[in-house]
Amino acid sequence: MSLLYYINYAMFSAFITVLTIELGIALYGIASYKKHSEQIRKYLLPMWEVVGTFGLLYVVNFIITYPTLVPTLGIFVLPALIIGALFLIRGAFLIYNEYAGGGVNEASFQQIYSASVIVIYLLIFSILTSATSGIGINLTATGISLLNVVFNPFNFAIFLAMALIGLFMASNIFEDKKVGVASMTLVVAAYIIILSALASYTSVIFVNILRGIFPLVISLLIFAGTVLAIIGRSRYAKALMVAWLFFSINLFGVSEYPYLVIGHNISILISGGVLAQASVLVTTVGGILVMAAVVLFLYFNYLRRRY
Amino acid sequence: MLPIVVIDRVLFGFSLAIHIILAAIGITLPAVVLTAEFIGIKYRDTDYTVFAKRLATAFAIFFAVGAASGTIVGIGFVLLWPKFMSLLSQVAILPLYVETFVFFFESLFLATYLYSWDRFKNKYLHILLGIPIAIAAPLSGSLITMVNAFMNVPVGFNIHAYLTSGIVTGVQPFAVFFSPAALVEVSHVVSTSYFFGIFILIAYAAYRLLGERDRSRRRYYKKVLGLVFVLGIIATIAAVATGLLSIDWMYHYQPEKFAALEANLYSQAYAPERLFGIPANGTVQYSINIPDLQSLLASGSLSGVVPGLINYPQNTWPPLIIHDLFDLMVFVGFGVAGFLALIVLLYLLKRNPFENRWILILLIVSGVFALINLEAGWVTAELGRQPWIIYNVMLVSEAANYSLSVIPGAILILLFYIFIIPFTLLALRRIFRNRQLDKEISVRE
Repeated sequence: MSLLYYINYAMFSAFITVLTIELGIALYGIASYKKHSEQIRKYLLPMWEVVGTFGLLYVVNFIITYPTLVPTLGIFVLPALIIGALFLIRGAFLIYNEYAGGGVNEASFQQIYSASVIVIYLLIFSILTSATSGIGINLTATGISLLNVVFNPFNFAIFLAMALIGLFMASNIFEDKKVGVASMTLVVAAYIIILSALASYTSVIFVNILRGIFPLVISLLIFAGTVLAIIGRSRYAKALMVAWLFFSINLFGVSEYPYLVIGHNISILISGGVLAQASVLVTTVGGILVMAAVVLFLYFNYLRRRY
Repeated sequence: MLPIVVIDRVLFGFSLAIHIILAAIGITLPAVVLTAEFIGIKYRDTDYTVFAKRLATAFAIFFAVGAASGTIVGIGFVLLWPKFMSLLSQVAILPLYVETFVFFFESLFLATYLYSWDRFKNKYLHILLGIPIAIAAPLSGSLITMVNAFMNVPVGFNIHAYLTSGIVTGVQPFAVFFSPAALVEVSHVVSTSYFFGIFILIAYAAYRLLGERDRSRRRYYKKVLGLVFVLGIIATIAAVATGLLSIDWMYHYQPEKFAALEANLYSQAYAPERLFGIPANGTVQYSINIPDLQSLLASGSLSGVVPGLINYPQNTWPPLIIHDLFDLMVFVGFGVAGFLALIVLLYLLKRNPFENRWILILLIVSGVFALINLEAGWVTAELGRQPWIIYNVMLVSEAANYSLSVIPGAILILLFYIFIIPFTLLALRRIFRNRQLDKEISVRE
């Protein structure tokens, strides 16, 4: 696989990582907004826009990486448009909630925001699971059955597992150590669900993961390190948690799964030539500048309060 | 039932028509916020600081809604026009890609700017955090416009080979940044975005001043109106100047569009400028004609030859309605510019124009005109390229997605936009009602 493939997959992993953290926070927003409203605001407000931007970055990079796949992906027009509309709702209600002040039912605004995040997540994974397994796709009719794409056991299993991981992340942000340690069982359950679902519905990925077992072992080792950091109340526990999720999602990238939307071997669809080289250059320069801005962002928003 | 390609066009056109409003406001507000914040700090004037802070809140809301709306437009690009995106991604997608990084930058700095307002001992340092936002906002718009410039004047690949074989060769990925249309389009889009955004602020300040009796609040709104009025003069001059450049550019690079804008059926010298009229058979009837003016404006000479539609195949003629839309845009633009000049004159004659009720009412109306101008300009530009999505390379009908899934998606998106815009305005009203101006001014004082 080319460098472009790995760059694109790393962007995908970064997007899903931040989105999964947001999913966990959104689930908390529905379950216990009153109890955690201040913490939810503290974590969510500076980062929520970054999540959407990561998504956009990934999509544009995907188009550059697989230009000839774009017409085929037109079959997902409906779920993608719904995701776009829900992103609109998500952003609007979060920001209304932030600035609305007195006299507004904050909890209901927060719940509309949370519900939209949950559905966005479900639909994004519907597209992913459908694109990799072929469930719900009818290529001869150049369309999909939205109901089949969303409501199928494979998608539900993966969504459930990711929701468990989101809850694990959020509970380690919002709850005390006891709950944080207990929430690790959620991750164990998530590993089991994901591997079982892959074995049942996309055996190619499952076999690839087992064949190149090292990434899976490293993912488990980083998770073990995260567990120890949480138990030891290390200041790096949260950073390790994020690193673990980022690497674990990359695990599928490393497995070099070659097929999308039934029969399209992405390894031969990857863009080549000068535009590909130019995009790597833009990614490198843009990535360095954005990383510098991220450091500044973390410094001003989470590390120091007065300057 | 409507053909799917028409539904694609309606959906995309509608979402863009809304999005350009949000985008233009998003481009304008950071510059105005920073200007007000700077004046507030430099002259220790709390009114300007309060205005900057309140406007920053409005910007955060417009940014949130605008960013999500931009995502919808992005999704629309990929899914409604897949063949176009496929070609774009092989030839000219770098501006879009760079834009996502610029947007990322803007998001990160915006969050930091908004949540660190009163945390600096040296207040000028806070302005420094805002400068990347004020640069990134128009830069994002410029990068997107470069893609539009590519659609008008395709560059960066072997067009002949593509048209004959369908294979993309000879790609020059950075050529799109320097397309002959890029500089002219970018300068006009950015300046007209500022023009529109500032006139919305002018209309808002005039509206508040009109109904205000309290002395301190009148003082506040007068200062706000004065500030945005000065910025409005600059934006108007820039918009008119870049507009004239655009016409000159079109004369050279898109002669069919030029001919349709001017309703020229035949190529001719000493061409009259036709104002308005009813489109028919490749020209307009009942128009007001000013002798020789068109030749003079287009070529700098009364004997300059202007292109006519008859020189091109009829199936590539843009719809002639763009002639009237173009005239509407130009008239509104010049009308607003003339009105500004009148206010400046009154000010020089020490007539205190902002105390005049009718001037304030007309300033409110000029906000509506600015909106008409923005939309008329955009529709003119896009319809003027029809039937092409990429001029002389790809037809709109070739690029469209013919999946039936478009229909429910279109209905959904239309409903969301109809809901979200009024709701955002209501939310803004409510937010500012809860944040009492008197309190904010007195706290700062």
